[in-house]
Amino acid sequence: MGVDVLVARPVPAPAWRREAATGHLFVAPALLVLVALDVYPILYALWVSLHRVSLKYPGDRPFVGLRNYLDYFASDYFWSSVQHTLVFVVASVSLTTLVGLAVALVLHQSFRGQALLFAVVLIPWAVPSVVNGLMWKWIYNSSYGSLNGVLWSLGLIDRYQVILGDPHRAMAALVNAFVWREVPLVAILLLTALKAVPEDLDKAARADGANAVRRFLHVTLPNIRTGFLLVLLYETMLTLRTFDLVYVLTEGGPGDATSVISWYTYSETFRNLNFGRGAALAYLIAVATFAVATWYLRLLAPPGKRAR
Amino acid sequence: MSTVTRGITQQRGISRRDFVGGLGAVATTLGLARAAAAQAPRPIHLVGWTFGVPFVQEVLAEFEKRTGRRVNYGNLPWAQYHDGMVAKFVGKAPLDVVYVSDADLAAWAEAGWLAPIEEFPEVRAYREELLPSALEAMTYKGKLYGLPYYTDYMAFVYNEEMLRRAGFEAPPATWDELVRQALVIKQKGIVDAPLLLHLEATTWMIEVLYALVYSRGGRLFDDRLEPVFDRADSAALETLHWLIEARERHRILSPGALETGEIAGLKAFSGGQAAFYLTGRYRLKDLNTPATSQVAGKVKLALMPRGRAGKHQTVGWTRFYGMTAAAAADPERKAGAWQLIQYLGGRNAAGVYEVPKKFFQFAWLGFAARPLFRDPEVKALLGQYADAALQERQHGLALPKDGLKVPWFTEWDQFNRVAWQKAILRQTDPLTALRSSADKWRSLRRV
Repeated sequence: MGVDVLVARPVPAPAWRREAATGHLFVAPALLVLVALDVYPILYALWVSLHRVSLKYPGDRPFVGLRNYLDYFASDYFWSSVQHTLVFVVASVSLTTLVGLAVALVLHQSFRGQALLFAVVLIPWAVPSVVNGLMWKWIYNSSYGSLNGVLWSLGLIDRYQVILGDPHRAMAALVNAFVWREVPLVAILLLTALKAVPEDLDKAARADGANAVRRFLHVTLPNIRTGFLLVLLYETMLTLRTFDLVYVLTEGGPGDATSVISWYTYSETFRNLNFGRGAALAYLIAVATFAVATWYLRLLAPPGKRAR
Repeated sequence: MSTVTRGITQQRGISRRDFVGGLGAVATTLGLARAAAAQAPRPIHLVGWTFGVPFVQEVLAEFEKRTGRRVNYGNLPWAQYHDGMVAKFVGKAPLDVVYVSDADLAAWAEAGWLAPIEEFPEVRAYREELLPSALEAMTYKGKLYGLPYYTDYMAFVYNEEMLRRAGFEAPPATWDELVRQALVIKQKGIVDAPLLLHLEATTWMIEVLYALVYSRGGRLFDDRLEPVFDRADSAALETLHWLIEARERHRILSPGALETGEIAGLKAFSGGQAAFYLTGRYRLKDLNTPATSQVAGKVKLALMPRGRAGKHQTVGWTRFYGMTAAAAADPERKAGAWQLIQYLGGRNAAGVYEVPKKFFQFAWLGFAARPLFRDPEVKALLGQYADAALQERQHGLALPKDGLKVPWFTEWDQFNRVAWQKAILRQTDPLTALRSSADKWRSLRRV
């Protein structure tokens, strides 16, 4: 009796699947790097934030659940640093954007020496943040600072003023140092947005008799809206995480007058060696930054496409 | 045929035989290099804070010359030292010998980063020759953790010329007398704010606060390490009230005190901006050297003014060379680290505390080795920038910071600086500020 033997032939995978497999293979190294450098640290930080990890007691790492987070909500120092952070963010972002816009509008005009002015405006941005902090620390010094020297020479003050040792002035000084360095970047970004505004629109508005203010409000501003919001998004995220300037200029003082939340995180982690609490605070900053970014991105979407 | 083949291979570049031969040569070279490296002693990794770097490099070059061991020396600014070292320890950076501040000993030892040096036979002799206060500062839970880099105390210095111009022949003996003299100096327009204190919220602030409290006969902690500074009759509260009065009512305290760090304070005083100043004793050299001070020759040492219950006490500190636990775990590294620690903080083959003496000659850094007090060169130099007998007397009245021997001291110190600053700025009531600081201490103790 003859037996028919059916030999199964391998069925080749469809072309799209082969392509997908090759694609995954190519993406895999990058994905591995991403997991190792981003995903793992994020998850590890979450694990740390749920434990009492203190280098003062390295052998003891009990699970504390949300205690590290809840302790902050009950801490006056935390709320005080939240308040200082809000003041710093609102003042810095508003001033940086407004001054940056003014500079961009000036640079958008054609005049002699425009190229030179453009180069000069860029200088602060070339200064590293830590150097910027050190420079302003010298400028603000109450004994030999150049700001006091200039004001005194002009007869505007009769004695050298304390700036970084005064709680209110210290925050203003911090904001000023931040704005000075960030304005060039904002000006460049907004200048790029201004360059993209069609000239015809401006000409048409001019022909309709609109003055400069009306043309700016009704023609220029709506057309640079996207660039404007991007600047706001970037600067807000930057200010929320600003640490280096505070570290160099005030170390959160005097008292806790300039203790913003990023400084508090650093202090808790590296000075007090409380890595668990530090990680919890870093997570809170990340959540806040994410919330702000989402809000801005919603604003960025065209009106018809905004999620309700 | 072979010629043709050779020709073809030549065209291709390298023959298989050449390639294998080359690989063999590279492997042999690497192997020899590795063997040579394995035979050569490994370098000793030393990290300290930035002070006199070229001088330290010279000292280390001499060590390398004598021992044949290489030293990899790194340094971090004092203001960033604590945080930078924590990052290094956590990141398992190669460290064998490190500078240690007495304020960090408990935390670093408890974290398992430092190793005691008890096991070395030379330690017994060092115990007999080093000042007890320095030994105490380097001891944690009964074990010695290093040999001294330097030991010093917070000194009260004054500008003699300014006092004379104001009509005073002697410096103030009490804090009340200081206020009276300062007011006269101010009235006569000699300087606007005669008293300079560096109260910026950095590691130096605690030394000033301790000196002010000790000089009033007070303490911050009792023997059971319980805070006593939050009591209504404490010397700390008296000090805080005195500082507020000096700043607001008398206006004799430098208005920028809260933003003035140690170096900025030194510059201001050496620029003639104040009549009275609290600083590390060793700074008298800089203050009385024309190249670094405009008031050189006019700066004198006096006993720390005292409060009602005080006896001119001040605060003292010790910085030392410690061995890392990582080095102690490896016999070769341990031997190298101990060799370097002894060279830097101990005696040389001739039995002389050579490097501590050099540091004293270089920067007037105080030493803890008692034999050096008998050294004629040292004795001569000791009187060069300030009265030697007075230095000895004040040194005898220098007390270590009570409360140091707990791992949370640095964390409490951070909190305490903010609390004191807020009270001085009148953002908080002084007693409330001290109570919040004491509560912080107790909460840290409970953890």
